[in-house]
Amino acid sequence: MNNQPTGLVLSGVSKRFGATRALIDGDLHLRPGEIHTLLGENGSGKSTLVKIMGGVHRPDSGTVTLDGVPVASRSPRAAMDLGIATVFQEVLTAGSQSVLENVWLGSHGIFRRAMPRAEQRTIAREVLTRIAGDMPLDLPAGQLSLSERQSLCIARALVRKPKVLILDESTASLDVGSRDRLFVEMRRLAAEGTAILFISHRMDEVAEISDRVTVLRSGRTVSAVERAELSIDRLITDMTGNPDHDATRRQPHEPGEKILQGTALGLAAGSAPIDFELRSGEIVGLAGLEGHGQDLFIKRLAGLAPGPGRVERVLARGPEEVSERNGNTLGVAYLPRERRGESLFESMSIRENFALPTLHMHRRAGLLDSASIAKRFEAFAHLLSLRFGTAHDAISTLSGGNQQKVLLARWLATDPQVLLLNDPTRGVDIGTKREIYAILDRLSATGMGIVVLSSEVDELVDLADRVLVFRDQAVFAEIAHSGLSTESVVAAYFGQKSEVLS
Amino acid sequence: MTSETLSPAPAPAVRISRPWARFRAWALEVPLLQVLVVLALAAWLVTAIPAIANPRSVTSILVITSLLALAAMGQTLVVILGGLDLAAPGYILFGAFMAANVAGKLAVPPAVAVLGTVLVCGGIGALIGWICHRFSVQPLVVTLGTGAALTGATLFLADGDYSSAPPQALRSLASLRGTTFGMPFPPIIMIVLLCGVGMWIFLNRTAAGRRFHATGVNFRAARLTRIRTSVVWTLVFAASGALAGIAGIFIAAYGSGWSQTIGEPYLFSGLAAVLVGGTIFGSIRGSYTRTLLGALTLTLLSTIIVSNGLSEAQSRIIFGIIILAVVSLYGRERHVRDRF
Amino acid sequence: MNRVLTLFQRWPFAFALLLALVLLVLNLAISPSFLSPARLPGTLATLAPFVLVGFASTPSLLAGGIDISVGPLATFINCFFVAVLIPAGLGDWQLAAPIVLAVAAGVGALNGILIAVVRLHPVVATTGMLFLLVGLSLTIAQNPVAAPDNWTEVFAGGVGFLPGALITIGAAGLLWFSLRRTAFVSNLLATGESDVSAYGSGVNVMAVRILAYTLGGLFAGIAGIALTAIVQSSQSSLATTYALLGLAAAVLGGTSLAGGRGGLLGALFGAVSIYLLQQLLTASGVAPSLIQFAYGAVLVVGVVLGATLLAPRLKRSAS
Repeated sequence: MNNQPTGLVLSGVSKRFGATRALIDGDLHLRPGEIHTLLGENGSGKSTLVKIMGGVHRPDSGTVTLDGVPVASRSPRAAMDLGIATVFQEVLTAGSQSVLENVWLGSHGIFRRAMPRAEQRTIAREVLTRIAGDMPLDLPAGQLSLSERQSLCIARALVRKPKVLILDESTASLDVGSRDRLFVEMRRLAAEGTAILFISHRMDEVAEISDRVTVLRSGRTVSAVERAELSIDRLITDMTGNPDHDATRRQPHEPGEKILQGTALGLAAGSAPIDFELRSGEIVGLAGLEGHGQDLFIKRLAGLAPGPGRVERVLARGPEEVSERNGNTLGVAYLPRERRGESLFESMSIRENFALPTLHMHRRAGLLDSASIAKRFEAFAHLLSLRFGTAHDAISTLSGGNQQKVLLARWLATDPQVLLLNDPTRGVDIGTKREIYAILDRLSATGMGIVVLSSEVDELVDLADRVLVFRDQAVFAEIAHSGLSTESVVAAYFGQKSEVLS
Repeated sequence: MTSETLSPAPAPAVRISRPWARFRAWALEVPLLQVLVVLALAAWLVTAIPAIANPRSVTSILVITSLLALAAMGQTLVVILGGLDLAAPGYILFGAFMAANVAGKLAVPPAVAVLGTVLVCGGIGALIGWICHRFSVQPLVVTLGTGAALTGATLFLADGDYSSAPPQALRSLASLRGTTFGMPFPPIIMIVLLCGVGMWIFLNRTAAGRRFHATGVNFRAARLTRIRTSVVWTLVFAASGALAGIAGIFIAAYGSGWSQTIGEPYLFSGLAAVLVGGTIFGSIRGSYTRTLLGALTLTLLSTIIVSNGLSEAQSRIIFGIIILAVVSLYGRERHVRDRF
Repeated sequence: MNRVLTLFQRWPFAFALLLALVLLVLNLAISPSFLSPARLPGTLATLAPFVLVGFASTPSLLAGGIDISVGPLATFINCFFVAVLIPAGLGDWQLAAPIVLAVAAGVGALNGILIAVVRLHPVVATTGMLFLLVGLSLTIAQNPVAAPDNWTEVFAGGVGFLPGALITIGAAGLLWFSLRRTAFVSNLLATGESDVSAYGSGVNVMAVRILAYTLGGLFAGIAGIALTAIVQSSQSSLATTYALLGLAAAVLGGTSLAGGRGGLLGALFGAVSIYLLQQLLTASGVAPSLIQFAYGAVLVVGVVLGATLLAPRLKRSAS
């Protein structure tokens, strides 16, 4: 290494949250002009590292230097003033403010504007055109799609012309078109000398864009790999610490009787109505680019969104319409997409979080029987091999993957026949992902019908018996198990049916 | 909370090295601090004025505490749900009106008056809860408006008559000379204690209580966990209304009369009792036990202040400081940084 | 119809404006002299404290918080000026006005610090402050103290053709207008909409919050002066009346309790509506108790309308 290293250098950085050591002696060297990928499972310390660089957290020990100068940022603001711009994992927009205001949000002083408004408009339009196509600058940001809002956040970082650009899972919410534009922009910026740190859970993206990859595992830096030596197998081995990676495709079970039926479901005015059947023992995948209707569709199946058409649970005594209320009695369980906003009760304990929808099973003389709740929780904790301190700990002390398992247990405890999962492995590490796949396979073997919406094509290819690909608020293609491959799903994303399908 | 960066660490040593953090966590779970404060204040009061340690004065302090606690009962529930019920003065005024003018002057049987209060106040509360839930508007302004409307309507019904007094049957419930099954204290103390026990069981040992807490902690998740949040909201605001109305009956019974502004002191004092007790907006830590302790703290404190020759005004100042002090210990919000 | 709705959704204060206009017409119908040049300064002077307390509630609401102590702050300023400053010989406007405004802004800043730095829940912090202020007002002046002749009388009458109340309201409005030209209001709205987004984007959320409450305090100070102008005595008992009135005015004017949406114009029209409603009912000989009933009903209906029909259809933000 040179005696005056350029770029952003973190060495021996540690951070602890309460009893949890999130990052232990993390090392990272981000050189000007490179696209550097940071890889790691969830809980590996990636986000902590990003937040330290972005000024959200301060390290407990270790040093951070930018072009040889020590960095001690106390806030994202301070980091930005040093030329480090971070696009955080969450899509941070102010919904009722205009696109323009959002692009420049945070660039101003408390009173002083960064530059005259006309100039702001020009620059914002130019940057947005490069990464997201045309976007009306005066529209409230809340009216944009998730992908567009993510582009907005990226534009916010770009207009600052940073020396160091950090993109923390920024492609997770981007549609493929915007992602490609972002990659072009990233290459251009790198060529101009910007140091870019890129984080993604998608191996195809990592393989495509990275100049160099640093892998984190359990809070420690495991390896830093140059592009020439890059191989996906090696990276996965480094990340999981588990060399035998073979993504076995699940073999479907013989489907049983029809258990759920949707008739003439319309997702938007004028879109083609959808008929849908779910049989017991089936795993059906839902796919599509962000905002093409699959999310609404799974909510329709759960009875949580109104609209034209009917969703019925087919029972021995005849079909019964699914509504927001009767999910439990009909054996339909829905796991929402946003863990924190839609599922977790953060200050409540692990066990309380688990037991909420099944409290009625644990009543004795009108009061809750905590012993019986504990027993049931133990059973499910064992079934899903949950890892936790004690069941009384707040659920927020668990890692994302374990939280997701608790939530899965919550719904399995309701004894559902139909399990609807909205992106169940979002933000979950690879190890836990595989465990969840195995659990779902076991469940389908017992005759449960499962619908999985996923933003990861590989997941659907591994897991599903058949996949419905959504496009423009309608089912564009239904891909059977025999025709299922990454290529066929992605092709359908973009409106092309390969011959296998027809 | 960081959603994904945490990996469990084998670090019991860390926990022991932070006794303050542990103490704080424990103090947050159990309202021990409040108990200590109450004991300390009681000790102070007895040392300062030994004469106060007679049954009569103690009963008097307990009755005033009970009235405050009763008025703050509904507010406790609403605060746990994450809202604020500013209609309390209206309910209390209506309850007082029913006790004094309807049960007293018109000689309607007290039981009917109580029932009428519960139905009217509970019904209005239910309507507020339903409106707030249905149209997702914050309860703050809806309760403010409804409270004003209810106050106006009650005063209109009263038609300028503020001289009636509640009947003897009601007055004996809260009178200092009252007895409960032969015991030398008025029934209100017993009623409030029973309410305390009932609320504890409800919040900690019933499915409904657990669902109610969950609705307060995360409304959206509660809905998706198939909790009928509209029912929770409607019932909680109905309960808040009915309880405040009943509190109004007792307040009028205790004072043997009523006035146009009888409810107003109880709005902010009731809120103060809830907050000093350590119940926080939309939190799992809220409980009525805490409010009882908070009400006792405030009553003891104002007794001390007044007995030291200070004015009502100064007791307000001290209330303000105490709220800020207690809540700085308990109810600090998370830094934006930790909500990332 | 749809275009009208869009208009309402675009301008949060449109509903209050319409309500105010309708009430104004009704008022004029009942008492045609309502807006006569002779009565106007007096009318505006009675209106000014309402409007200013509404203004004072607005910045904290926009920042995603709430300040229920602005009403008591206004009455405290009134008591402080009449019962402390004037007797101490500090009653001249050159001295008193800066002192009064500094004290008011200081109390607001203290609220802001309690909320942004000590991180207390806004309702809790300002409830504590409310107790403090009411207690202090009562300590300073338990009973009304009449004020000798002083400079605040100008604001109850007029300067030449200019009604004095326009000076107080105008000063606050002008301050806000100039702040709109800076980045402060954008920062304020973004913070109120989503503090996490604002913080992550580099807004100094803490400073913005403290300044919002300080600004609210300053407006409350002006409200205190406007109040003194019409009552010309110390009125500690008015604290409870004003405690929640400002909030009602701001919310009726379309300022969202969730933060990030609304503005001073809304508070203006909201306060004017409430005031005109009272005037109208009083002039038509309705009992005071029913006026209170009507005020409550308008508030509930206004808020529900604002939250449903008139709210812009925003997709739920993911953050």
